[in-house]
Amino acid sequence: MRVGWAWLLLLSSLAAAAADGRLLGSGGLLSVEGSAGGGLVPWAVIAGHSGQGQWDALASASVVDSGDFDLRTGALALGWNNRMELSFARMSLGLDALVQANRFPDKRLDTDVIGAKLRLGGDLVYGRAPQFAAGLQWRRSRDADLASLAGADNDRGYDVYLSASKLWIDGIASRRTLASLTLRSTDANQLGLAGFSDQRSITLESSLAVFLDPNWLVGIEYRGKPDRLASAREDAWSDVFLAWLPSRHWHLALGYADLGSIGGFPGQRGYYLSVQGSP
Amino acid sequence: MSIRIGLLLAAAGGCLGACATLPQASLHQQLGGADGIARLVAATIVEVHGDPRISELFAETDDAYFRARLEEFICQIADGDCDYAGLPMPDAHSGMDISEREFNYFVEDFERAMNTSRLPLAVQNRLLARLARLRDEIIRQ
Ligand code: HEM
Repeated sequence: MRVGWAWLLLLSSLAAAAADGRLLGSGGLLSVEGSAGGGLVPWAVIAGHSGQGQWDALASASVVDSGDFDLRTGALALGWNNRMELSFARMSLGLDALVQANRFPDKRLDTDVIGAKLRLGGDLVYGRAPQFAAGLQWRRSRDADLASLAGADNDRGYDVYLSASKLWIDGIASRRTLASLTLRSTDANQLGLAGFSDQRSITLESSLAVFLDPNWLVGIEYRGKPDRLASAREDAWSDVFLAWLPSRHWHLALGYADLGSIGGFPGQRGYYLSVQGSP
Repeated sequence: MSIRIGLLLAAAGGCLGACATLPQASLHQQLGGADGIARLVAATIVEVHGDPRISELFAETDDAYFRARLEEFICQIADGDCDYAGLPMPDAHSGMDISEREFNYFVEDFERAMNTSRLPLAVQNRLLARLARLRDEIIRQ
């Protein structure tokens, strides 16, 4: 994490001025895999608040703890021109339950995700059309030997996704309301934490979020996931969250996530916490 | 009689889902009528002049004229009984080449003005949604 903040300082020197070209919150949050969106799914938004000719740099840390497992992520992202997003995330899964059951060595499972997202067209807030974006996520397991224990074919893979997101200013209860849909092609098992398969799957993800006021956002998310490993079932993920956006520089989110079955342990549910900073 | 009550109930039921604003006051009334809009426009003018990101654009503006036109415009777009006597939006902003960013700055200033005018959030969003639709007529003219 210390490395993450050093990066942030470096990146912030790149960002000539604080990016302020878009409405507060229109960059979403950095998700568990680094791409801007909700906590678990990407949206068609570009991370941060960059408008034309602006850069924005962001760093975030998040944790989901289900008791048996905990998933921690440190992520960095750059947004440019409200057009392109580059991100890096290191996801780290703590395997308490498996270690205690002596089914795994005492070690965390780490996977890196390098993401790129391009806004194809449309605008989140203005105009009738939703904002469309295409994204790529290259993933590499840093603990390939462990992931292969779970029966994965490969130690690396990639996702391609298409997202459409729309924010209605006068939405539910005359509050700003955001809906988002993502279609993904993936070869990752449990986001890559359990390695990658030769076979690809198509999944669907969605979010609905309402700004209670310009600084508070509540939402629900659903992330369809493949289920390809014989050794352990994989389930869809979902969560509810409350995010506080006191300014463009700080976002805080608290959620409750249902991660389904992980490593043969069903019913993995727990709190989700994420902090995000931007110069 | 009972048919009429039935129809009323049906209309009310339908309204819960579809037309929550129908039996309510018009947006013009929710904004506080002419007085409310005058306060809002006055606050907006203070905000844009105080915002270094766009104040330059308003440096030569005849504030009294601008205030009168913006009041009429907001009155009209809020379903009030007014006739807007100014230029159409593309003409009013032609030659300024307002960028998407500058539009957003104006929206932020306008939001601050709505807050100073103590407008409820729902009313703010209803008005802002109507103004936001005009963006393409205002930017890059
Ligand atoms: C939905 C948003 C907006 C509305 C409803 C609006 C409305 C108006 C109206 C009614 C006028 C007077 C037209 C006339 O001269 O007859 C005007 C003029 C003007 N507007 Fe806007 N406007 C909007 C957005 C913007 C933005 C984003 C900027 C700049 C960032 C801007 C800058 C100006 C300027 C500089 C004038 C000219 C004032 C002068 O005469 O010097 N407006 N606008």
